[in-house]
Amino acid sequence: MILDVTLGIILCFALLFGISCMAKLIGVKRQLQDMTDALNDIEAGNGNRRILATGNELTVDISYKINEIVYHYEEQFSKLRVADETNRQFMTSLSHDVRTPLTTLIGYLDAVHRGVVTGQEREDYLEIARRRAYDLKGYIDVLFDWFKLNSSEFSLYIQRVELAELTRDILKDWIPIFEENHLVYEIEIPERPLYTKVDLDGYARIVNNLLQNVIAHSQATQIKIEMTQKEKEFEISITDNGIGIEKADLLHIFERLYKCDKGRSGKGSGLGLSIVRQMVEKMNGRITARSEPDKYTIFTIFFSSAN
Amino acid sequence: MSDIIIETKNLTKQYGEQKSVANLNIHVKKGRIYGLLGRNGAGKTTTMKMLLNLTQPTSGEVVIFGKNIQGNEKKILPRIGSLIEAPGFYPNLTGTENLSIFARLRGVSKRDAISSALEVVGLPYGDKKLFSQYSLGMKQRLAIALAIMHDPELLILDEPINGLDPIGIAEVRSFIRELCDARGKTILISSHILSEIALLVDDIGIIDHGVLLEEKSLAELEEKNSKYVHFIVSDMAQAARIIEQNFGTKNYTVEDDHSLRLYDVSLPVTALNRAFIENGLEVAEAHTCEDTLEDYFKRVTGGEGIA
Repeated sequence: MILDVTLGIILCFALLFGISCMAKLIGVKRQLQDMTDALNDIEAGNGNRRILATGNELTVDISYKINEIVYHYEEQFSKLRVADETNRQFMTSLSHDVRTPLTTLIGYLDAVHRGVVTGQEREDYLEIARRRAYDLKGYIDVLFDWFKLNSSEFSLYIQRVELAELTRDILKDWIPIFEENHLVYEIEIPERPLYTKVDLDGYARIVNNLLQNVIAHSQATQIKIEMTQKEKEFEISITDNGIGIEKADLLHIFERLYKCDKGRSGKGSGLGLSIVRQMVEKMNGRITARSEPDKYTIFTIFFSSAN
Repeated sequence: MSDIIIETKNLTKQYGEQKSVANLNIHVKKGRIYGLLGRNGAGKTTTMKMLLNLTQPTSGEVVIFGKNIQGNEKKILPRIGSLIEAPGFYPNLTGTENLSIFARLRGVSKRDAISSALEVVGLPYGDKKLFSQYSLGMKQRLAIALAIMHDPELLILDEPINGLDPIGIAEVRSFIRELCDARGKTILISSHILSEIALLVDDIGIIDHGVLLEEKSLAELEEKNSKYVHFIVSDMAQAARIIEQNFGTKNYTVEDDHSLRLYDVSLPVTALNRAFIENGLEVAEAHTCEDTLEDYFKRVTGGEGIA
C-alpha cells in the first residue's frame, strides 16, 4: 500500500519532470532555429544582425558570445568601409584640386606660346606660371607627406632634443617670408636650453606647416611665436590677428579634407592641419586651436619636458 | 543581400474620405540615414506606423529586409528599433527598471545591454528616480535608449529630437550619425525642421499631404543649393587665365576640359562672356545657379514651405 503511494508519487514527479524537460527542449529548439536564421543572415554578409536572448534561456550565453564575435568583426569591417569612403572622397577632391591650378598654369603658358602677349606682359605671364608651378609642387609635397604618414612604413626617430635653439633655427628661414608678406612678427623663446623628445624633421614640419597656414589663410598683419615652459611641459604657440576661424569650423579643422572656405576656391589641400595633428600625436604631444573671428587665432602645441 | 532595407509599394492609408498617405513609394538604403521631411500632419507618423505594422495600410505593401511585413512581423520587428510617439513606460518604476522589463520581454544582444544603452543617451544606470519624475527631455532619452537597447539593424525614429534642449539635440544627432557611420546601421527619421534634417541625413524624402514629392540624396540637393555661375567654353585654360587676369578672382574650379564653375557670383556674366569671346573662345553655355534649400522646398511644396 505504502509502496503503491510512493510509486505513484515518484511516477507523478517523473511525469512532471518529463513534461518540463519537453517544454525546455521545445524552447531550445525554437531558439536554435532563430539562431540558425540569424547566422545564415550573418553568413550572407549582414554583420549587424544580432541574436536576441533573455537571461533565463538556456542558449543565452552562446547567443551573447556569438553577438560579441560578430560585433567585433563588423567593427573592423566598418573601419575599412570608412577608410575606403575617405579614400574615394580624397581621390575626387584631389583631381579637382590639381586640375584647377594646372589648367590655369596651362592658360598662361598657352597665351605666351601663341603670342597673345608680348614684352613685359609676356614676362609677367611667365612669372605667374612659374609661381603656379611651385604652388602645385607644394601641394603635391603635402600630398606625399600625407600618404607617407598614413602608410605603414612611416617611422619617426624620437630623440632628446634641445627645442629652443631648434625653433630659433626654423624661424630664421621664415623671417624674410614674413617681411615679404608684410607680417609684423614677434618671437619669444627662452634663452635657456629646453629639452624634450621629438623627431627633428617632424618638429620642423609641424612648425613650418602651421606658419604656412597663417600665411596662406589668415590674412593677418601680425604674428607672434611664443615658447613657454610650464611645470612638466612646453607650450609653443602661434598667434595671428587675421580673419580667425568660426566656432563651427574650429571643431573640424584638424580633420582631413576639411576646408573652412566652402566656396572651394582651390586654395590648399585640406590636409595641412590634419598632417600637423597626426605628427604631433605621433610624438606624444597634443595640439589645440582657439580663435575668435576677425580677432585672433592661436595654435598651441604641447610637448612634455625631458630635462 | 539587397541594398534596399525599406521599400513601400503604393502605400496608402485612408481615413474615411481623406487619404492620410497616398501611393507612397519610399526607398531606404542600407547603411544610410533617410530623413522623412514634412510639415505637421503631412503623413510622416502614419507612414512609420504602417512600416511597423502598428496600423494596417488601406492598400499597398511594406517590404522590410526583403520580406513583406504582413505575416513576417515576428521575424522582422525584433530587428528594428523604433520610437513612435511616447512608449508605454511605467510611471512608478525607475528608468532602469522600465528597460529591464522590456529586455526580459524582447531579449537583448548582450549582458550589459541596459547600462550601455543608458550610457549612450546620457542617463544614469541604476538611478532611483521614478519615470514620473523625469523631465520631457529625460523621457525622450529613455525612449531612445529603449529603441537602441537590442542593437537593431534598423532604427525608425519619429521626431527623435522632440523635447530635447540644444545640447541634447546635438548629442542625439552625433550618436545617430555615429550609429550609421561607425556601425553601418540603417536609420529612418522624420522631422518637420528642414535645417535639422539637412545637418544629419544622407537621403531625403519630402512628403506633403500624404504624397511623396521628391526623393533625393542630400548631396544632390546641396548641389542645387550652392551659388555659382556655370560656364561651358571651348578652351578652359584660356578661360581660367582670363578670369584671373581680367576679373581678379581665383574663386573658381575647373570641372573638366570644357566646364568651369565660378563661385564669385557678383561678377557680371555679360562682361565675362564678352571677354571670352573677344579672346577667341566659344561660349556654349553660361548660367547662374543660385537656389537655396529653402527656396527649393518652397517650390516643391507649392509655395507653402516646410519650416
